[in-house]
Amino acid sequence: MTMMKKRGCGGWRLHWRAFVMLAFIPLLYTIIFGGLFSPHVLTQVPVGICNLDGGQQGRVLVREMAQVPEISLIRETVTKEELDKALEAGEIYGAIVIPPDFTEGIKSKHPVNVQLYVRNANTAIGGVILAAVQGVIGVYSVQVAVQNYIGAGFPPGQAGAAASQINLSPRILYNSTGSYEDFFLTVLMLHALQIAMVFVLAPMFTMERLRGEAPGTKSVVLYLLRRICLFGIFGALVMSACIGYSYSFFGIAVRGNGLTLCGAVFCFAACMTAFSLMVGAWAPNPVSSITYPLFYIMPSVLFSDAVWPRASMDALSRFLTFVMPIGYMGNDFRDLLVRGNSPGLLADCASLLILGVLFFAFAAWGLKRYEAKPEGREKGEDSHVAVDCA
Amino acid sequence: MWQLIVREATLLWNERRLVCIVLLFAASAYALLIGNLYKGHVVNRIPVIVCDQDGSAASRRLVRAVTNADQYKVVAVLPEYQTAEKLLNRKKGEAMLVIPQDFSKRLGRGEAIELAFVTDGSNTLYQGYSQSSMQAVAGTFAAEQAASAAMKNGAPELPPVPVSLSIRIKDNPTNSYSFFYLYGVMITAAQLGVTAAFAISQHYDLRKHFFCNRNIIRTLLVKELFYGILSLLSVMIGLTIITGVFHMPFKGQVWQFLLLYLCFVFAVINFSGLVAAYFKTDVAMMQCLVFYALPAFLMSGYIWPELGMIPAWKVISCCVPLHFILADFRDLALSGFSSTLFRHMFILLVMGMAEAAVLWLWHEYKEGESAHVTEIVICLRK
Repeated sequence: MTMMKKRGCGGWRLHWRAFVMLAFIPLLYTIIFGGLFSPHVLTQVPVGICNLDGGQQGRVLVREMAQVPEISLIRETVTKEELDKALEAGEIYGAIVIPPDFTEGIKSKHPVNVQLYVRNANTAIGGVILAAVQGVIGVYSVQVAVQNYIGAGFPPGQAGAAASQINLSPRILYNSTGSYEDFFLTVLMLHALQIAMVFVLAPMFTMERLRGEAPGTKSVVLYLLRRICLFGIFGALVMSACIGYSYSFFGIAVRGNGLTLCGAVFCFAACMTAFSLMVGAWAPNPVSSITYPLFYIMPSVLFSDAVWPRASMDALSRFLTFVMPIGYMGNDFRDLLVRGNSPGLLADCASLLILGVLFFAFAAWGLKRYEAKPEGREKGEDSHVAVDCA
Repeated sequence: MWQLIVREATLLWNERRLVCIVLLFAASAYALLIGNLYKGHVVNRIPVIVCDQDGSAASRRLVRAVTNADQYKVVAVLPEYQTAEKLLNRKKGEAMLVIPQDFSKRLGRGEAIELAFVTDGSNTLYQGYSQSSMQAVAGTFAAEQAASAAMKNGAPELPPVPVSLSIRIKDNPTNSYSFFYLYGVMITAAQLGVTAAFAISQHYDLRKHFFCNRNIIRTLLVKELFYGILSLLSVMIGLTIITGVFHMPFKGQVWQFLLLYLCFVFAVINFSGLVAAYFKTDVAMMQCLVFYALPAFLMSGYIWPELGMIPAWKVISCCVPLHFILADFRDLALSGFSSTLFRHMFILLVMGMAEAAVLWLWHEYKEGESAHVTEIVICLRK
């Protein structure tokens, strides 16, 4: 930051280090998070099984379970206590117990009950085990029911219907594999851009202001507008590079129109630049310009409506989603990428611009307030007052 | 020691009040914000469109079953598929249930029926909750129908579900998002506070050559103790909020958590000391700490588990101190124990000691360097 190169003037000044960081941080985050989610799905989750049934049906069920790629039967025991110990030791995340009368119950057409214990502290792991075991048991149960109905004299066609009359056939649009990249990486990329913009630009603007590089009162508006244009366009370019990288290496869906995407990202980047200018204009020193937005930027992605839906929020949290810029763009950005369109895009871009104008006005006010006090160094600006140790 | 503590406290309160607020209240503020956000624990009132092509009494019974489910908010019941699909594309609903034309006829004849359930998969959280709930609704409806049909027709007494699964979900039985998320977010916020406060203090002291002619190890230890205890206090406030205000469980032993957190603080404080030593300006140092926070949280294996990571990412994950506390803290809170607790404490201690050793060597080197520079200056003056 101290080695700023000055090229141009009056708001077009380029700080090469800020530009490098602005480009580097979102790209680095994209690489890190994309790599993190890159296998898309969780497989081979360690699960234990206790087959208390000595019969053939129990063995068949164990074989069926072993064929599911989502879980890995790493432990087979003959007592439930051993399985409990392994579960408590964190060796396995789920335990399946086949009862002693399993084969006998199926032969005598009595309902049998398989038990499943799941450690669900991490719901991602618990969900995988639940879905996998429920799937196997569901299919197996229908097979047994069909055999039972055939045995009772039903024709094979009707036996199938009697065993499972109403079926739900799910059809998932846009992100059919439930890929974490399409769901979360897209939002995280946007979050990375706002983190980079605020924590790079805000201290830079504060330093400019403290060094007296900010313009005089008359040209404040022009200076701010130029800054917003410059960094808004640069932010959109960086985001395009992140999208390109994620598309090439992590296979995220890019179904939307490129121009629309760029326009939407520009609106967001311009709004975030205005926000950074506001923070930079009001913060007493560069370190404060990083500390103040900490309370807003870090949790903002959770308030974006792109992860936890607005419909499930209370009034206060819902209000917060409307004052945070990412609350307007999180869903739209992902929809543009994954669905190819976003019905609320125009309204959200307009809201972002209005919010941007508001931040812009506060930034101008902050700068003018500073200009009005040329002696400048307000209380707290000099953060390094020596206190001697006795 | 006491003088050093008074000095740190004076500096923190008089000169870095904002940092002091972050150190003491970041964990509580995040706990309040995120706790309030996930107060409902699970996603509910999912907007669903029902396309009832049958329009019979049986199909209306099914629609009523969907409407009665807490998870759904039925936004429209339409007979035409195209209109319903248009609504889904316009995002008026997140999912669409399609009841086929011959639903009641097939139901009466005992033939198999396929209900189509179309969901928007762009938000997998929404999609997951909506699908599992609809499966439960359809399953219950089917079981009721099968039971009443069997009673009417006098069908052979066969179990409708010969093999059932009884599930016992431990730790987080309701799939609550706040149970899953909040514990980790609070610790991450506390980490941000303590690293920022200690790094700023270290950076200032290094610039002022505060460590010259002092016992470096003792001075460092006193400072670490001071910031560690303040951070512990902040986490305890946060923990009180999440258990007291949001009624989240903490089943474990508090002393185990305190010990684990102290080991963690020891590791992250020394890490921030190294960052302070590396960077020339306090702004660049703060930027580094802020940029580190989010990847550290996500790479810790707290949300996306280590099981699903590729080997290189597993290695990186093991270098992050958060990796050794977050899951253990959640396990302690939700199940009352953590099988890896003491192993992770040991790793954090080793990590902290290695960092402290590097920090000490660096200080020794810098002290020697400044002494050497002083000698040169004296020689030149002579």
